[in-house]
Amino acid sequence: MTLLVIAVVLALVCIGAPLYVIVGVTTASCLAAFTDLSTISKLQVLVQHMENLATKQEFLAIPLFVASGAIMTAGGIARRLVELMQALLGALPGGLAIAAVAACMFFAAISGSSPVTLIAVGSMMFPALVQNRYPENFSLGLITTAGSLGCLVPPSLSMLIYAISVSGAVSVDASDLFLAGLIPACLVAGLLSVYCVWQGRKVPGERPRFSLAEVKDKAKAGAWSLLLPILVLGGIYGGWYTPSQAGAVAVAYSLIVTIWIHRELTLKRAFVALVDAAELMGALLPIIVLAFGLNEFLALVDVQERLLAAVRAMNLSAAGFLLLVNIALVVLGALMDSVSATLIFAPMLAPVAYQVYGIDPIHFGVIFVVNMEIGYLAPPVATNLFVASAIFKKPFAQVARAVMPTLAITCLALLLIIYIPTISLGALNLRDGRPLYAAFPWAGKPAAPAVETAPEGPSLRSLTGKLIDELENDQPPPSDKPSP
Amino acid sequence: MSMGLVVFVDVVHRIFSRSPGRLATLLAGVLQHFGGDVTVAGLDATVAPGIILGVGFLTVYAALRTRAQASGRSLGRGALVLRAFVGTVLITVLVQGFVRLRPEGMVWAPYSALVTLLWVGLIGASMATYKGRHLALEMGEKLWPASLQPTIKRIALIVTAAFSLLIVLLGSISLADHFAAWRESPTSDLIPAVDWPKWVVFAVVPYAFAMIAIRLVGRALGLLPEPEPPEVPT
Repeated sequence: MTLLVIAVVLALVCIGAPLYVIVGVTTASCLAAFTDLSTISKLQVLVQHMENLATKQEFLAIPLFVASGAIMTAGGIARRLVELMQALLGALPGGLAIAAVAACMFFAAISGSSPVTLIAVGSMMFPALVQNRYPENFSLGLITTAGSLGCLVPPSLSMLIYAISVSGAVSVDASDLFLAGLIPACLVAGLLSVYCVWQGRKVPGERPRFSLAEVKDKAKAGAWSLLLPILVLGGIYGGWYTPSQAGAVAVAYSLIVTIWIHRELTLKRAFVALVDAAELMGALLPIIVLAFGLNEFLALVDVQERLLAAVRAMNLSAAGFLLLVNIALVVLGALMDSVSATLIFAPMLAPVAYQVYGIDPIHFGVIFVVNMEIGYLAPPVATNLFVASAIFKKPFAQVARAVMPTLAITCLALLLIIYIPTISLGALNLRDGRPLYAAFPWAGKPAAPAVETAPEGPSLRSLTGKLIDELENDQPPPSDKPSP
Repeated sequence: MSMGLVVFVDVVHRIFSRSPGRLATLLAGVLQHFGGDVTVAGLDATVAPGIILGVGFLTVYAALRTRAQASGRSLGRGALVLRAFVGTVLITVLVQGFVRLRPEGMVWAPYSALVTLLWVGLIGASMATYKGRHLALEMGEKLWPASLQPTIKRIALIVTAAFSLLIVLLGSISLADHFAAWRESPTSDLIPAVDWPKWVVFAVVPYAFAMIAIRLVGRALGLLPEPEPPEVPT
């Protein structure tokens, strides 16, 4: 039966079926093959997850940030950011390249999406870099990699999806994850900037001189765009609103800035941008809800418990476990779309990391998201490589070769983030009044569960009954309170 | 857009109806830390509103000052200050009027936004099918020789349509259950806060997937045109 399910999934992959069909058919066939949820009416689990969307407030953050990103992108924010960064950093060795990295980072904070950042900033910065005699492959690789910083810079869709997907297994607040992602994002951007300086020293020609007047001028034009991440993050951490409500603030703010202050967006163009955002949501939503069905199945057949037992039996150290998980995630990221990989594997791996090794779910979340960032760049299923190949009109193989040095830099950053948890947890520790330093459990071996685990050996029948009961009950939406 | 704006208005209401306000609490904490003899209630009544008004005025002034002018000419400082003042007063009156006239706020806002999310997301899924924007592993299609690709594509369309029809069937069963529950007792089986019958809200599930299935079958049979490939994959 297992082989049959695998064959069905492989067949769907081979015919190029949409991801939501692959996830949905996998869920339906697993439910039919391995549980007693085999009758058609019991497969309603698939649909009930869609209906449950109407009561889950944490979901609101995703469409709202997608919408605000679409409005800002259509409103010409990228150009203002690029000009400001060029004025600020252009005079440094490799300044134009550093400006590209910084613009990508800030734009990612506004748009929340890697491919959108790559399209908006990359389409301006790649020609500028080549025109200023930076090597073509360096420019291509740098822009493609910096574009993927969107995964790490809050408010990031990847982080929101991670927080939502693991919410049934471990407690992760999206706002904590946002804060934890800030320093790792700066680390990746910093390492890329060092690479830019090193490359920039070899670039012939004069660098532009630093002009305070130009910086003031460009800052005036770009200030409202730069304020958005501050407004979003400041509001969340100041306790003014939750991440979902921050999405609504971002939508209202981006409309006011682009339509009323910058006057670059008409209502008609805003409507087109929002329709585009709705289509993007339409592409994401079925995958997300059907993946929840798959997670439900994995819970029904105790996959997590089995994984826990298997990891304990392997008797790996925490360092070895994380290394293994990361190799697996990089391979998965290269083979799968990042959203599906997060939805399917994060709820399985995060509780194991926490319960067996005591690895903080926030730290693990940041590691997961950096892996997904690498997944955006690692062929064959690398969204950003496809996007870069299309917008820069370069062969896919050339783009894949060009990202190798910057991909190696990102992998180096990943290793630092994994084994120095202070990088991700330091900001949270400071906020909560704990010591800044967070030690990595180098000598860590599989330990007793750190938190309460599911009662051992529940029967499939009882779990199934519980699932159906939950689905039939009208639960009030969970409160979406701001973090303290 | 309406989803975002409704939740935004709710957020504004929550912020300005909170008593004591967040700003007063923050200020009191800071001042008391440095030995200041202040109370949250005192700051909430005096200093905090002043700061909010001041920051509001400066924000409106900065927005007016940096606002792109249609005619290209900029306003004088006096005119800007006057407009900023009037703007701040208007916003304050609107916000305070709203908070005082509707002290209970907009409890329904997040619920209506979630219903909108369901509708927008699923109709968006149908539109994504129309424009060929659903995420797929493109390598699958490329495994086949060029001569076989149209057939493979047709098979993929039919399989996707079949799966969509399964969702239509499951959605219809669920819809019938919700309708029966609602007909039995019209005050039950409602979406909380907005009190819309669930069967009305969830009708979008079979509807959207039926649209997807029809489009895909139409394309597989050659009755509907193939979508234009997007300029860049999304």
